Amino acid sequence: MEFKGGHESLLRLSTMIQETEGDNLMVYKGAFDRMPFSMIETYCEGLSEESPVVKKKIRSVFVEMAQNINFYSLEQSGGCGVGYISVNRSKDGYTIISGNTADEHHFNRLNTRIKKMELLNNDTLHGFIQKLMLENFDYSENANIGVVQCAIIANSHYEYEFVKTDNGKYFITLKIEVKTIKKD
Amino acid sequence: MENIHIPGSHDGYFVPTVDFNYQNGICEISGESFLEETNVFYAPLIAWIRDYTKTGLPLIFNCKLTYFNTSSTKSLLDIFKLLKKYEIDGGQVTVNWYYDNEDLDLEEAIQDYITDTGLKINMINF
Repeated sequence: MEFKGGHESLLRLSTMIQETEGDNLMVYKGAFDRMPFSMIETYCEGLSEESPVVKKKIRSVFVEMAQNINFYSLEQSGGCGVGYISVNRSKDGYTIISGNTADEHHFNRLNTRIKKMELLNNDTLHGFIQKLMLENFDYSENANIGVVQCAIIANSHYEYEFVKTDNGKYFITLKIEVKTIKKD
Repeated sequence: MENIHIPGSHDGYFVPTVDFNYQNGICEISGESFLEETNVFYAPLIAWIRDYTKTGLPLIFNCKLTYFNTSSTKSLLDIFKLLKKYEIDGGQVTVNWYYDNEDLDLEEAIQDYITDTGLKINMINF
């Protein structure tokens, strides 16, 4: 599906990435087929200074955010959602930023969920995801449970931007930081 | 019943290794689970366990998964619910989860399964 109004949204996404302190280590733009998942695998393997736990956290958050793009992006290529994702090394860890188009239904659900998550700490978030998990959900869309899972794994809240485009759709940018566990 | 053997792979997606053995009643799943179509992968495994529970024989479920994404979490929950139902119906069920006890996220996930299903899961550090 053609994405109108994309320039402004991409500029915002680019700005958000640039405003993140630290080194931009990995950027992927395109269809969320196997490629970005292979890239993050290789990327994490190269983080020799990090513990296996930190590497797993980075990969877990990346996978959930990438799957969200695959499920919900209005732009499609070869049966996969199209979007952007980046990993930056930041002062306290690693920041993962994703960007993709979405329809109003997905925007509304995501917006509601993220606003609710802002009111929860990690313990109450945990209870929230357990409740969601016990509800029946359609496998064809993971009902944004992964978004909650990311916040739990990263132990931090999202920064986000939802931009309504001139065709009544949305461009969604999510940013979350995985804190590094300091080695003794 | 036929045994199930699926070799694991890492090719963008992570396919876990699966060995479900009818002869000795041991079901083992290991590696990492992040799949292109989670329900397509897990549906035959769930069906196999459902069929096995009709035999009334003991079942040992060894889980050695070190990573699973949210969709896989749901499928694993379905398996554990099924095992708990078998236990309630009189089946002999043993569930072992082999894990690194420094992985607190995984430990928490296992504890959630215990809470959510009421199933006893033996958490074994390795």
